[in-house]
Amino acid sequence: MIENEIKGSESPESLMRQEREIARKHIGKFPYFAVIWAFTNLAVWLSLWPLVLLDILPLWAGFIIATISISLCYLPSHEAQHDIIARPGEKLYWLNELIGHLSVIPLVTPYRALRFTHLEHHKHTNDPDFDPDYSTRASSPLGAIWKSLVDRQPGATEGLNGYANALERVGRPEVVTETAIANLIYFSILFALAWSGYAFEAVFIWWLPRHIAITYIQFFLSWAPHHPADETERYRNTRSFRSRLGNIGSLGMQYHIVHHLHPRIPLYRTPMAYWEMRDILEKRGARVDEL
Amino acid sequence: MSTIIKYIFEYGALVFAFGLMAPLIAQTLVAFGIIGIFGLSPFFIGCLIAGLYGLFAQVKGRWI
Repeated sequence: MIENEIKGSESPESLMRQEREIARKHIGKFPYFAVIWAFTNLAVWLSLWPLVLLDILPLWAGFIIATISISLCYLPSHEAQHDIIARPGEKLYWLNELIGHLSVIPLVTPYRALRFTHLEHHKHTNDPDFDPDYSTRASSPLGAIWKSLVDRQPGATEGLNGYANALERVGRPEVVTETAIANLIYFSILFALAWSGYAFEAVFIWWLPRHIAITYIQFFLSWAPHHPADETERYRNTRSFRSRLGNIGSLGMQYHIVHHLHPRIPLYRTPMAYWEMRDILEKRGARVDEL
Repeated sequence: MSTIIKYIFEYGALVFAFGLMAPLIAQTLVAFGIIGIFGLSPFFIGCLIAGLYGLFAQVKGRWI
C-alpha cells in the first residue's frame, strides 16, 4: 500500500525523464519497411493501369487493389513529413523527400501541402481555429464518414478544401497553387481517359479508390485518435484506442498518442514504445484507458 | 495562371459533370445494351443527365 503510494507520487520531472528515455531508444532507427512500402505500393498502383487497360487484370480486381494501395500510400509520406527517414542535412535526406513526394501521387494532394498542414495539426491539435484537421470531428463513426464526404463537396470550405486557408496562414500560398495544378493534372487525366472510352478504368482505378482511401485515412488518422477532439492539452488531445480492425487494419493508428508526443518515432516502433511507456503516460494523465 | 485555375475550379462541378460523368453514363448505357432511348444517342443522354446533375451540384455546392 505504502509502496504503491510512493510509486504513484513520482514527480512529473521524473516521469518526463523516463518517457523521454524510452522515446530516445526508438528514434533514429531507419524505417526500412516504410521505404520498401513506399516504392512497392506506388509500383503496384502504377502497374494496374497497363494491366487493366490491356485486359490482363479484370477491372474488379484492379479496383480492389487500387483501393488498398491508395489507402496505404499516405503513411510513407507521413514518415517523411516528420523527417523520420532522414533529417535535413543528412546524407539520405533526398530519399526522405523523394518518398514524401512520390508516395502520395495517387492521393493527388502534394507532399508539401500535406506536410505544412500536418505540422499545423501537431502544433494546434483540436484547436477549432488553427487545426486544419479539426473539421473531421464528429460524434460517431458514421458521423465521421459522413463528415469526410461532406467536406469533399464542391462548396465545402473545410477538410481538404480548408487546407488552402491553413497554407495561406503559414505563408505558403505557392503550395495552394501547386495543389490546384496537381488537381488540374489529375482531372485532365481522368477526363482524357473517360473521353477515350476508358471511363470505367478512370473511375475504378483512381477516382473511386481515392475517395474511399481519403475517407479511410481521415477516419483512422484524424477522427479515431482524437475523438471527441474537445481537449487541446498535449497529453489529452490524442488517445490510444482499440480498433475492431486491429492495429494494421487501422493503419497503425491505435497508438497514435505516442506519435503526437514523440513524432520522430517511426510508425513500426510506436506499438513497442507505447507498451514501454504506457504506465508513465497513464500517470501523466494521458487518454490510454482503451488499450 | 492562378486566375485561370480559380475560374476552372469555380465551375468545377460542371466541368466534372461533362469531363467524367457524361462519358461514364454513356459508356454504362452501352455496356448494359441500353441504347436508342427515345432515339437519343448514349452520348447525348450522358451529357443530359450529367449536365443536369452537374448544374444541381454547381448551384447547391454539393453532389449529395
